Amino acid sequence: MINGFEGAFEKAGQMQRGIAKAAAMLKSNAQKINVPGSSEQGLVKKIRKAALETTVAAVDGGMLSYSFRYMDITAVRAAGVVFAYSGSRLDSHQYVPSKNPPFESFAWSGLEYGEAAGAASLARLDCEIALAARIAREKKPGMLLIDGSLVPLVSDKPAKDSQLKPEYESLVKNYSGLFSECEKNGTMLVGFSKDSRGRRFSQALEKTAELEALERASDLAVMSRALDGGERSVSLPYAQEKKSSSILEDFGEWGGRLMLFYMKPSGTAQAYRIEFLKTAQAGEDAVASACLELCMFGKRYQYPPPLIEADMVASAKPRDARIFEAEIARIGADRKIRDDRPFR
Amino acid sequence: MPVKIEPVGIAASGNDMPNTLYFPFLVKGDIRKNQYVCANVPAGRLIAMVVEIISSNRYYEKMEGVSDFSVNSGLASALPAQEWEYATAVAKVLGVLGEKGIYRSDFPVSPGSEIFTPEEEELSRFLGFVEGGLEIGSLANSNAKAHIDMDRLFGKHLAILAMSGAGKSHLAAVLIEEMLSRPAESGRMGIVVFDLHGEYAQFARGDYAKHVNVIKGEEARIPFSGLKASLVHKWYPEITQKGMMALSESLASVKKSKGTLADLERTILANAKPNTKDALLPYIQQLERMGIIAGGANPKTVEFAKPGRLNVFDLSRITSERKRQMIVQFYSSRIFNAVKAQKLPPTLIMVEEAHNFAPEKGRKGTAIAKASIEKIAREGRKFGCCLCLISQRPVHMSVTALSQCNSNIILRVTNPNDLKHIGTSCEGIDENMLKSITTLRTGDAILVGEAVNFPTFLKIRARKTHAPKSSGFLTGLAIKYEADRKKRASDVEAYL
Repeated sequence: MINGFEGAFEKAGQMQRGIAKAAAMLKSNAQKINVPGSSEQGLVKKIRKAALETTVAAVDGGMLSYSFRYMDITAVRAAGVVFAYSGSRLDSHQYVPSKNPPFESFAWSGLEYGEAAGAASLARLDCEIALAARIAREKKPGMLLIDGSLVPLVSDKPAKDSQLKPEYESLVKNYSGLFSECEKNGTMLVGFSKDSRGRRFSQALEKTAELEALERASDLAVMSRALDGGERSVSLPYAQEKKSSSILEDFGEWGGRLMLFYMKPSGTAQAYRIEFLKTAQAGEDAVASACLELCMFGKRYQYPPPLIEADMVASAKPRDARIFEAEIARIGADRKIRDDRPFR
Repeated sequence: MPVKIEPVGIAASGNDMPNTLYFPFLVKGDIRKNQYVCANVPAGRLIAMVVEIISSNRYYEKMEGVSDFSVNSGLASALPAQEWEYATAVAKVLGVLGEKGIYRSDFPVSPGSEIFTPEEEELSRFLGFVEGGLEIGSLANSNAKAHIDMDRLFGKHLAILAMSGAGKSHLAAVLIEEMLSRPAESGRMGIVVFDLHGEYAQFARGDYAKHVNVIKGEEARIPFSGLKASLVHKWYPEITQKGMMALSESLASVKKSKGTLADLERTILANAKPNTKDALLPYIQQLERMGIIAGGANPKTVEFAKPGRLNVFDLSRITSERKRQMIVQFYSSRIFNAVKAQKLPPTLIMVEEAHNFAPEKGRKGTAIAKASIEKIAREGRKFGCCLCLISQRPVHMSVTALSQCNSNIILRVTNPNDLKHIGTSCEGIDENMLKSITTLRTGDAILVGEAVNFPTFLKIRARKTHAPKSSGFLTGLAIKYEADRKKRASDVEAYL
């Protein structure tokens, strides 16, 4: 062990053990525990298996971002795919807008330190959600997957006096348009998170089950241990998550209809956080069944193929980066001193 | 210069390429290994050959991922993996075809350049094909016919090298067909084939019958008048110096009296000293038993005098290796001398299993024809006496003879020693081509050397004449054997 590292690792070990113990307790009492705020009984539900006989769309975004001394430049793009399934087999596919979607670039100057990342993230989200709304409107898929949450992160919301306020408002408007289209067309709208730090369940259970170890644990850490393969947690309204309240208030009526649960496709997989817009067609069971079926294509890497493909299309390729950098060099942007140092 | 509109690729950059020798390109059209491609460069049209094609797909880059998605029906049932497949090719630059000829490439192709397939006409010009040339096939992965210039192909001798069953005899037959089809105004050579397996006697039964003369090996005769002590010594190098002197004296006296081989034997018996007699007579008696020495030659040299005519020495029924060697040695030498003296037209001498007749290493007395073949290889081209040496074991062939063959047609060879030998003895063959030789299909060939401007992959055309069946060969022999046996038994029964 390297000198000075012992403390952190010891603490991490303690936390791990605490979470494992708490998860084991939750697992053994899964049917007895009721989660405050949930309309469902118990903690864990078995997911019903059903073959996919629908179209599943997915949207993901790609981004190239560079900071200079006096400005920040970002290029973003969103990619959408629509997979048509028959008997859970991929029948056909299409790309929206294309297999090589164009980038849209933004330049900001005068951003506060720390605002630059938020600006880039907002631009990417806006691009993604606008495309998702377009797909919902034009393709009317049975299911529409968003990579990540169905609402912006708290860190994405700019301060009241920020110059990014208009961008944020445009984003909220696009989200509302997406929700509206999905409801109108009966599209199941699902946010699929593999690395969420949400603590909605841990907070709820911390008091109910009197488990101290849950005080700082993320839901994914707990649910990955508490759930077995093919199981999901009961659902909870998104709105009750404290840290998200400042975001949800911007979404008005839609905020109250966003739900979430955790699911685990198989014993060897990690749990996923599933957020969905509750509609007449999109209840917990239907969403969980579809998500489970989508995850069953891989043996160990169990992740919805439409999201894998959307990520493949959207991600910035080395060639994109080279072109982008060449353009930056052409305009002669002032590089940051740290980027110009002749060592390390 | 006509240009095909649709490009088959786009030149890329990476791995220190494009350079003046190689360039990579993204494959957009139908491209195959060893195919010719071209790009427009300031000096003209740069012609290159595809030396490798690499297929890629991000979804299949990690074995773990391929294994992971192998449940159900694999990646393709879950993802549109085929959308991510693409091929890149590496092309070897051969040269630049300009208005005034072919130049060496001295500047790389620009990345981003469109890559095309060359027009047949420009490719023919680039490779050195000629109108009225020998059409031995087409370019591999192309419909362009390969019309090879006869002068360039045979002028400095040709070697056909391949393992057994790769199509050597087929190619030789195609060459013969082309030679026999040449009109007089295009220039016709005489053709002499030393045929060990009776494969070319077929020509006497088809469209070319009137241009073909088959000499049965067992009927071939060397004239007693042409017998010299030095010639007998070539056949039997073990004859001693004293034996040679006695032979020389006896030969002179028998020839003077217009005697025969039997007279020679009698003369030696009567005049030679006992020791010499005992040492010399067995050879003369062996010659008598062979029946190869006669009063006159068969065939006579004059029989080879007609241009555009095929003369086949069918040696397939001769079991004595020495006798075969003697026939090849005597007649190749005689033809060379006659061509040299302009008594015969320019002549192509084709030698099957040439490694037997001109081996690099051979015991004394077993490589009787070697010196004659090497002499023709060294001096023949000046007089229009050309060799076509055909061999399945190039590593065992005379280096002198093989190195004089300035054109080589190589079909499939898998023996590593032969490959190595080909690599060192054939100019213009690079490492990549050498690797390709092992994977050539039957009938595919590489032509290198004097005959073409650049090494060329060919698909040898089908024969116009009837080809002996090779498939079912064993079965046919077995059936025939049993039928003959049965017939003999019934004949005996009927007689009794």
